[in-house]
Amino acid sequence: MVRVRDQLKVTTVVVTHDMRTARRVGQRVLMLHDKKIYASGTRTNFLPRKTRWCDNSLTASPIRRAYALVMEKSRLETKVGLFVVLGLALLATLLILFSKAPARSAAPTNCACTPATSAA
Amino acid sequence: MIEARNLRKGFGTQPVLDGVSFRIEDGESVAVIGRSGCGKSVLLKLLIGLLPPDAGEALVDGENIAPMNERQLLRVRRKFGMVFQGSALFDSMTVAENVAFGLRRHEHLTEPEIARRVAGALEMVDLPGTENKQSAELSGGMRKRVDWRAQSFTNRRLCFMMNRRPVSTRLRPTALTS
Repeated sequence: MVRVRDQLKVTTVVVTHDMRTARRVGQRVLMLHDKKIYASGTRTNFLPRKTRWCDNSLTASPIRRAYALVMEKSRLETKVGLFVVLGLALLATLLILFSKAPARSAAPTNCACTPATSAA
Repeated sequence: MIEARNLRKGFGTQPVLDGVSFRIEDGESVAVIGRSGCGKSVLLKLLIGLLPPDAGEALVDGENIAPMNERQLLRVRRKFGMVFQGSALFDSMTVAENVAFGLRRHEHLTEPEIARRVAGALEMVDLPGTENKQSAELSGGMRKRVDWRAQSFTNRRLCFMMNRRPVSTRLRPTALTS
């Protein structure tokens, strides 16, 4: 695709989720976030090779920091969601255990009483 | 040249794009990225006139396509090709017929000339000798290459592509460190 594009000098706009595609195809990268163009830059400063995307240090370029910020937010949302799901699962397990516990303890009492009454 | 000037678009009470502006020069290649649901596809649809913006301008070669009617849009759309996630090939046609479809509709060429161009085009995307195959026989990647080549044919100078990967690779840090 890149070869054809370069040979034909076609202006190309690619919408993608995939960073590798963006890096391979886009000479320039636009990042949409919060209803706006959140960051834009050349392929080299936006999507460098062998980059740790969690890099949020002050030495990172503004675009990379912007990207890292969005990723950080995304990860935070994922973590919160995971904790909520785990919490609910734990609560449900506890409820099931406690609801079953009195039933088990009641059964032997009845059993013990039954022979006594029949003998009488 | 493609330009967006303060584009705004919303659906119901939900705003999707709020003041998007950028400019893409001739021959430039731009990738638009962002999280799922951030409005990338909506932006693309605004740029090709599939959706009207609520406000702002979408310019293709200096012409604002936002207020255009269908006939005017057709004229502008001849300048560009669109390649979507699932390649838009006619399964009932052969590869050559698919690639030549646009040529036959918009250009007055002889059959030998069309055949020559189609063969050259397929060679360019490493698919020589596939002219007589049914497009349904091709793999997903091959279909996409044929579609891409067909869409960037002749006088088309712009190409809009929508490329999505499976959820597993979407904006995941592991997928980004290569």
